Amino acid sequence: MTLLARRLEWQRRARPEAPELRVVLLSTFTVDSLVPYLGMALAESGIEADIAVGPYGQVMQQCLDAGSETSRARPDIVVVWPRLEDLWAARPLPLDDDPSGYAEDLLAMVDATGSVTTSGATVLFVLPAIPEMRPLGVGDANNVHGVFAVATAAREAARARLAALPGALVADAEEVVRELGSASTVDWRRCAVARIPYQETAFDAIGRRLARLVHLEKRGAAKVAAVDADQTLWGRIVGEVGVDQIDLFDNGPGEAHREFQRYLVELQRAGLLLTVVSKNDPDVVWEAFGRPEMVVQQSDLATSRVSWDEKADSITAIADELNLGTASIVLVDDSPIECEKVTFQLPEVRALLMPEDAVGWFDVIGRSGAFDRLPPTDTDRMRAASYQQEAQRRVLRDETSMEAFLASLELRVEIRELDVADVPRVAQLISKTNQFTLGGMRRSEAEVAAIVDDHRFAGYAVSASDRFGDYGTVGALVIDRSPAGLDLPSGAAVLDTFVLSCRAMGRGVETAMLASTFDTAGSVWTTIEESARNQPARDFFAGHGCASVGEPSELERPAWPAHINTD
Amino acid sequence: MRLEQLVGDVFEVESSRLDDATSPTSLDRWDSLGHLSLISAVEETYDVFLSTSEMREARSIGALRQILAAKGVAA
Repeated sequence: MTLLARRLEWQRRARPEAPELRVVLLSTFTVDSLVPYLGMALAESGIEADIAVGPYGQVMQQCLDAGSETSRARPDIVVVWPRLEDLWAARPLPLDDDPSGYAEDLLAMVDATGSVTTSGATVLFVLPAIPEMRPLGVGDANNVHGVFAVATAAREAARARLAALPGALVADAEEVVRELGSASTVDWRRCAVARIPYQETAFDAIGRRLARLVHLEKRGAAKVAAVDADQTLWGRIVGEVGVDQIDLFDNGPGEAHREFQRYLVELQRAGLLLTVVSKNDPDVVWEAFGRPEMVVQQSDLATSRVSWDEKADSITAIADELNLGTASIVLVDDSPIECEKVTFQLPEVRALLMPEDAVGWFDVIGRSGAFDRLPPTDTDRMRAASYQQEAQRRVLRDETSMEAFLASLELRVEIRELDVADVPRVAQLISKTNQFTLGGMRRSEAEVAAIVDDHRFAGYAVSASDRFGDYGTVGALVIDRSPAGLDLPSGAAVLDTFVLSCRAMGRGVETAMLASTFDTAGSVWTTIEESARNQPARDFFAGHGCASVGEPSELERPAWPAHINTD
Repeated sequence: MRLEQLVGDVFEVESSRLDDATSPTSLDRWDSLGHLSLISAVEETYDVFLSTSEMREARSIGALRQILAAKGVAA
C-alpha cells in the first residue's frame, strides 16, 4: 500500500465508537501528519485508537496544566515529540560555549511529562533527532562542543531521566534518520511552508515504531521462539548429509547460520525462551548439537519438540508444557510451507519466514518487531532458569502424591506491602497475566505507582521461592478500602486486582494470597469477570465464595496453606 | 489519475462537484493543513516536486493543473 493509500484508508475508516486507546500527540512542530500512520499501524496490530493532536507548540502547558485540553481528554497515551531545532530556537547552535544549557529545555519537557503519568496516562516520548544544520561540516565531528556532540549529550540526559519516569516509553526519531537516511527524512519545503519538518516516509516510519511500542505495552512481548533446525540453525539437511556435513563451516553460509545462532542467544539473554521445533529424527538433531561450532547449546533450550509430528501440534505441546498461550510463541523457519501450515492451524501464532540466504537474518527479525521487548527486569532474567527448575519439579510431582509433593517443595511465600521498587514488576504482572487474574480493569504502571502512597488502597507484592530456586515476584493484589459505586455493607473492602504468574500457580500460593487479604479487612468482596483465558482464576474464586461471574461476591476466608512458610 | 478525482479523495467530496475554480474558499476541508495534504498527494501521485512558491501558488485546481502542466504532467 502506498503512503497516500494508507492516509486515505485512515481517512475513510469509521472512528471507533469505543476505542481501546485514546492518544494525544503533543509536539513543538506540526505533527498532524503522524496521525494516519500511527492510526493505521495500531489498527494493523489489532488496536483501535482515537488519535487527537494537541494545540500546536504547547507541550509544556498541556502537560503541566491539569485543566488543559489534553488533561480533559483523559488520554491513555500522550505522545510527546519535541525537536531540538525548536527547543534551541533562541540560542545559537552549539560551537564552543558551555554545552550544559542545551539539555535544559529538553529535560524540562521530560519533567513536565511526569505530570501526565500521575493522571494515569502513559507517556510515549520521542527523543528528538540530531539537528541537520552543522556549520563546521565534517569539522563538527572534531568538536566536543559541536552540534552532534551536544545534541547527543542532551538526548542521553533525557533518556536517563525518562528511565526514572514510571511506565514512560521511549522512541527515537534518530533511529528513523538512520533507517531512512536524512535526505529521505527531513522536509525543508514543508518545514518552511507549514512547520512540518519531516517527509511522509518519516512519519510512517515513526508511526510504525510507536505502534510497536504501544503493542508491546498493551499485549506484551513474545515469550518463546520455536526455531527450526535444518537450513535454519545450520545449513543443509542433517538427515541427508549427516552430522559432519551440516553447514556450520567458516567462510560461507555456515558462518551466517552461526551469526544467527549468536543472535538467538542474545535474544535469550534478553528474556526470550528458545525452543527447537524440528521434523526430524531426534537422535540426529541432538547429535548435531554436539558439533563444536554450535553457538546455541542444548542447555539453552527451555524445551523442544523434535519428531515427525506436525509443527502446529509441537507448538501446542510446547505451550502446554511451558504453561503459556500459543499466541506468545513465534515460529522461525526457512520453509514457506511449514510457516503457512502453522499459521493456518494456529492463526494466533506468528511465523517468521527466513529468506533463502542466511545472511542478515537478525535484521529481518529485528525489522519484523516479533521479538521486540522492553529492557529485562530481574525477574525476566530469572525466568529462563525458572523453566528449567520447573522441569525438575514436574519430575518430582509425577513421583509422589500431591500433598507430599507440596510439602517437599519447601515453599516460602512473602506477601509485602507494595513499595516503589515493586512498581515496574507489579505493573508488568498486571498487564501480562492472562490466566490467574480477575479480568476487568488493568492498572497501568503509572496507576500502580499512584496507589503506593494512597491510603485508600492496600497493595501487596508476592514473592515465592522453593528448594529448586527463587521465582521472584510472582503475584500482586490490591484492596480498595473505600470502594465507590457499589452497594456493599459498611467496612467492606473490595479486592480489585489479584494476579499470579502461571509459573507459580497450583502450589497454594493463590490460597495464601487470598488468606492474607483478610489481614486488611474483615469483609472482602470481589467481582471476577470472564476473560478469554482466566478459567483457572474463575475456578479458584468459585471455590471461595464467587458463585457467579460478573457479580460482586463476598469472599470466604481460606486457611493459610499448611505447606507454605512465610518470612 | 484526474486531478479532480485526487482532490475528491483527499477532501472526501464527489469529484463531479469540482472544477478548475475549486479553491480553499469553496471547500471547507481545503484549509492550510488540508492544502499540505493535497500537495503531498499530488507529489506522490504524479511523481513531481513543488517548490515552496509553487506550493503557495497552487490555490485552486486550475492553478495546480497549470503547475503540473509546466512539469510535463497532464492531469
